[in-house]
Amino acid sequence: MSGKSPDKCAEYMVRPILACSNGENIGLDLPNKSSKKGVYIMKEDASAGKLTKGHTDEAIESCWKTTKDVLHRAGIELEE
Amino acid sequence: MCVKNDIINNIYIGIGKGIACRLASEGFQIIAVGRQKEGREAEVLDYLQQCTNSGISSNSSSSSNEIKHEFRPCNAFELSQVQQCSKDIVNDHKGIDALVMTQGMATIQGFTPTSEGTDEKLTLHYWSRAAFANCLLPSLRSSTNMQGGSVVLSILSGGVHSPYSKYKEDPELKKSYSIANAANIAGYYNDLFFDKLAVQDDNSSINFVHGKFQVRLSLHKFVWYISHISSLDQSFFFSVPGVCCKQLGNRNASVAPYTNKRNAKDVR
Repeated sequence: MSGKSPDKCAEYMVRPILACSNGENIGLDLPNKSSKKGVYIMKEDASAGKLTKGHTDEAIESCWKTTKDVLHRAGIELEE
Repeated sequence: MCVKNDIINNIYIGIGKGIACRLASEGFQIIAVGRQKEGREAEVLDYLQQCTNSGISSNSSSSSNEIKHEFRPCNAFELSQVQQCSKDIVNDHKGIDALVMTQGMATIQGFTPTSEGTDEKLTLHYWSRAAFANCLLPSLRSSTNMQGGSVVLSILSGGVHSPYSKYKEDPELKKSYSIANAANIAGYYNDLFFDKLAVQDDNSSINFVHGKFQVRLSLHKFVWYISHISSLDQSFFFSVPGVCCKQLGNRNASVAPYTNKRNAKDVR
């Protein structure tokens, strides 16, 4: 089994934070390059990754509703 | 602190520690959040201070005394605790620059309910992360130290998981639990949820990132790890403005801060 040491892995993972702290570009492309907003996917080497083929508007809304229900049961209200 | 510990520290625990230490060395104030354990708070704070000092040492214009790290006890298996912990942080810190979530567990157990009825594994890998991010949004929006915007970083399986096809029929994985489905739903929901937050106008100043980590693990240790079923890292942390969120220069953050291991039986 291969991989990186935790320290090396951490070094990659902090890059977006340090970049934003310095006022630089976050260093990642959005998975949907035609969009200006969205979640960034970051691979283990701090390069940009992709969303799954199942990343649809319908799935997003379903996930949101489920999350809203689960958090509500714990007394947490999701902001709309 | 965790050097004495076993393989668990070398994997999941390591990444949270490594990130906290790296950011501390860059001048960030760290609020470490994790399960309460005797002596843990002092251990964590001491370690983080060492990380800060390692970054300060070559910058004579700054003082490590200006940075006071914090440890907040919280059992992320209980969403109500996540909510309370978040509320306390928001009350104490108006602005938060970054939220990093690495809590997780590797297990071959089936659906195992928490006291609130959600699956343990999914709670750490997704529900608690959604709860933390949601509850901390007010402070993340108020960040003024990050010129490029504040950052929410959820480290799990970005880019490598598959979709979970039964999100309509079994959205909480109560009927179709399997190791593969448990892995996929957590990564899938992280993508979907944070994408939804990212497009909301109120969150335009926040960057949402789903990361994937890969750490070294020998086959021997992997077998040991899986056979012992449990292990997790509930260490996630935030940097808080007002103290010292400006970089102090590039330093090498070697080791990492703190350790957190448990047996799944502990919470049942």
